[in-house]
Amino acid sequence: MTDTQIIAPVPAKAETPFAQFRAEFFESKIAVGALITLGIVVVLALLAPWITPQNPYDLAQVDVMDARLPPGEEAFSGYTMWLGSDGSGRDLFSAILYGLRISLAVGVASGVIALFIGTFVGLFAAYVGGRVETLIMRFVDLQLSFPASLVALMLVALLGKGVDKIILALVVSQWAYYARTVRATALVERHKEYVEAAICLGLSKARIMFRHILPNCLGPLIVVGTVQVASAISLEATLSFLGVGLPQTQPSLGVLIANGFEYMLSGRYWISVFPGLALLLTVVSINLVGDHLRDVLNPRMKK
Amino acid sequence: MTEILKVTGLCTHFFTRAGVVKAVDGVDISLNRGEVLGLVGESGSGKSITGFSIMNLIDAPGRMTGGRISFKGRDLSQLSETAWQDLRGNRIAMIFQDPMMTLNPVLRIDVQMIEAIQAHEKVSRTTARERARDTLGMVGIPAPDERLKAYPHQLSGGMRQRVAIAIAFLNKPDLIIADEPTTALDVTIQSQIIHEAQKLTRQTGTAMIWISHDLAVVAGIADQISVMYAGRIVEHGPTDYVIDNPRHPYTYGLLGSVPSANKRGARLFQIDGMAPNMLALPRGCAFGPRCDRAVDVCAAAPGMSQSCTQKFRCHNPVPEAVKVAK
Amino acid sequence: MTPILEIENVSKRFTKKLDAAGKIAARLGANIREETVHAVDNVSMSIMPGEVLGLVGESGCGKSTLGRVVAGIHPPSAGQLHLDGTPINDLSAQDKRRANLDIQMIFQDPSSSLNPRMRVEDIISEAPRMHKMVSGASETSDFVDDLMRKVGLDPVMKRRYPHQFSGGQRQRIGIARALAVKPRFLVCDEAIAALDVSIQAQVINLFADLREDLGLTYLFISHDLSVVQHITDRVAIMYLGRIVEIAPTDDIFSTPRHPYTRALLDQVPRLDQRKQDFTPIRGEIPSPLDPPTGCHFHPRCPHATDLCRQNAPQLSTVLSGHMASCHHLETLGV
Repeated sequence: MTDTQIIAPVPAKAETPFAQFRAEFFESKIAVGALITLGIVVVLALLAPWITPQNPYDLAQVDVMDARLPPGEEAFSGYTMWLGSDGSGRDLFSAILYGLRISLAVGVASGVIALFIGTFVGLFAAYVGGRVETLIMRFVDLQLSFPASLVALMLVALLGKGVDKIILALVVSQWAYYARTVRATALVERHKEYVEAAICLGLSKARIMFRHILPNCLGPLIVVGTVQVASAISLEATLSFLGVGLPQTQPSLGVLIANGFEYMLSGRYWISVFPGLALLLTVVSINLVGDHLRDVLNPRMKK
Repeated sequence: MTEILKVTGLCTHFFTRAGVVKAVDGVDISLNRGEVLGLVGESGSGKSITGFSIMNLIDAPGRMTGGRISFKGRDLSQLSETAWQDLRGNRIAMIFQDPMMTLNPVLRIDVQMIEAIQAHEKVSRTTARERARDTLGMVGIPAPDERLKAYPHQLSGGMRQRVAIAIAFLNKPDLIIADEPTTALDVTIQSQIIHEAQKLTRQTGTAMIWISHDLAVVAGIADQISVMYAGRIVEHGPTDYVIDNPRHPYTYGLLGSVPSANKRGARLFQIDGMAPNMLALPRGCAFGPRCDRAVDVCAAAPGMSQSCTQKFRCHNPVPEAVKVAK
Repeated sequence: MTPILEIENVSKRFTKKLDAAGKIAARLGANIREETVHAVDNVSMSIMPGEVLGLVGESGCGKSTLGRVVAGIHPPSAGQLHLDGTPINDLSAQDKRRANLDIQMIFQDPSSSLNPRMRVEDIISEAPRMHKMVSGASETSDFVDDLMRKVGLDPVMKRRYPHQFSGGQRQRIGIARALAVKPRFLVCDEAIAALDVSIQAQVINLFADLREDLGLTYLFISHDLSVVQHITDRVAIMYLGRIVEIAPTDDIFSTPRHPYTRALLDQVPRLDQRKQDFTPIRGEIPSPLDPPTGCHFHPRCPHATDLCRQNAPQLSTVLSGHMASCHHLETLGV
């Protein structure tokens, strides 16, 4: 080596990709507010058995004498029902937290499963190309041309009630969104020079797909994932509200809203409205976080 | 000679999350009618920000924090946004690297050009159209009548840039700021456009600031050259002096590192290191750490020195007798 | 001496096929059809070991595509490549893999040619690990350190991600990644075009050093004639998919024969040509979708005749080692 060879100096401290992402995310007050709200909702739901005054599904703890108490009334057994009680005397605050647990669990579980299946299918389509890809993607298009709620409704009607069945229905109605996102992103990434370099270096096609292209598809996937989890939660609530979702023994927020609906006209608004507000708060905060994630992760929005 | 533009002590700073970037830090420019100034620098040197500052096109988090811009004797800093709109595209025009910054993709060329004329002048559509056609002809567009009816996407990149240049010249402005107008184009198209731009400035007496990273391109069109480094002008003078006898070590290094027939096969002169981090500029002379002529005094920022021919910001300039090897 | 690489009648076509909807629309009389781009049109040339061959042309002339065919990223539509005199396709699977590794590529845009999610050490060491050229953590680590020093990077930076480097440093990472599989031949596709002026000289010097130290052969693709003049031994000029002239660098710059080469040389902005009146070449490069008949250059050529409009000229030798494809080489003179 010639002696004039220079060792390029270390550039001044640069942020890691994650630190940069974090800093950009926290620039939006709305998104931070939504994230905090979401965090509180999740923590409350997780801690439900320890912080609620009653287990609304332990019949021994529910007293029918407490039925339809307005918010703030004292229950028969002495504690205050801040959000009132429902038609069978359950404390609504407790019922909502238990309902949130189920709604969140169903939403997240179906979202994650759909994400894995969709990612695999989308990446596989981009990987094999040709007729197989066309076939897969036309099927995806076909499915996406039906409203997700309709697909889920048909499936639940066929399968019957139950947590496992509704998760299955949600996965089937949502995997296609992930598949389409992953394939579209993979097709863009596939033509970048770093992939050409990998081809040139004789790396296997599978390695290029999974080690090079997949990690670069994560940004859009996270965005679609958050939005889809929110929509899974509201879809589940819709199905439960219609009476085809979860059974009364596993009441999600949708079931609670449906239960209170008959009392709306008699002025006992709280039985439906408070679970509804909880659902709204959850879905809106997930969506706000998702929206801002899209702004931060979308390279086209970068200054 | 009438002075069209006088910029003194222009400072444009960007207030980012990571700190203050002094993108432009005390830039002086003086430009007479019909003159072409080449503003040369590498990416991040502040040359484009200087152009945008003169056009008052700096967005948050950037702000012009100091200096005075006077255009035909009028102080621009007090101008209202409506007065700016009247000035921009009329008396001062801009040409961008990407012509699609000027062109609207969904409108026909004639619509855009007529609009650009009628926005600043009360003329009939027919007159405006004729003027649009004549200007297209002036920038060397064959069959201008046909091109007028085209949409931007139907034109090639070189053709689009010509249309953008024609739009800049439409209202016979006093000043045009051209920001890397030929960088994205092929060599043959580049030389056509330089040729047309040169002809137009001579015909119309329009003054021009030609911003580029390419010294050879600037040498072909500019009367004066200002070389920028890390937000400051480090050397300024008539083209011939700056190119043949640069005094600042940075200009000297840049010119020395341009390959040429005589240096064939030999090692190229190279400036070591890389452009400084604008958030943490070196103390004193920003070029100091990369400079092979750096001396102890360079720890203090050098002021502008003046020789008979040019100005330079250096404590230990390249001696006048030393010419660049070409 | 056998050429290290021979390109024999290589063509590369890209066809944009119609999908089902397009086919139906075409049946119904819509003005769409399958579009074929002859990006590279029957190109032959050979490169000697240790030589630097420049490939020059304007955007859309097919020079990058030819580079990618040579580097094995695109398979040729016709023709073949010979490495050390043997057609690459005739090699055994094992030798073919080695042959592909022997030819590596340096890309134009250092920000998109590095995987943003990988650390520099992984970018450099991935291929050698996969091909079992290095094994074990300490050997790999030494190997990466060595390569980084060779291209002028400080090995302490190996745990960083590409975006934490400047443009020039990223290009060095790209060079280290290519060198990691011990290639003999580098295709440099506009490898310095995206770099700052003061960094270009550094990278050009690095290429020169590596050539000397490792005995590399280069195919140096560029639109910048002054860089090409500086670094190459021979130059091929490409226009719309075809080679129009190929000659030793000195010859092509002192006595260009093809009208296009002459026009191109006249247009290069040079420091010593100031405020002169150019007489620019007419028109623009036509669309490769619909190239002109006969000689592709005839619509822009001041010397074009009917012959040029009808027949495509062949490359013919004008001097030993100097070939040009033009019908009027004799009348045009030197």
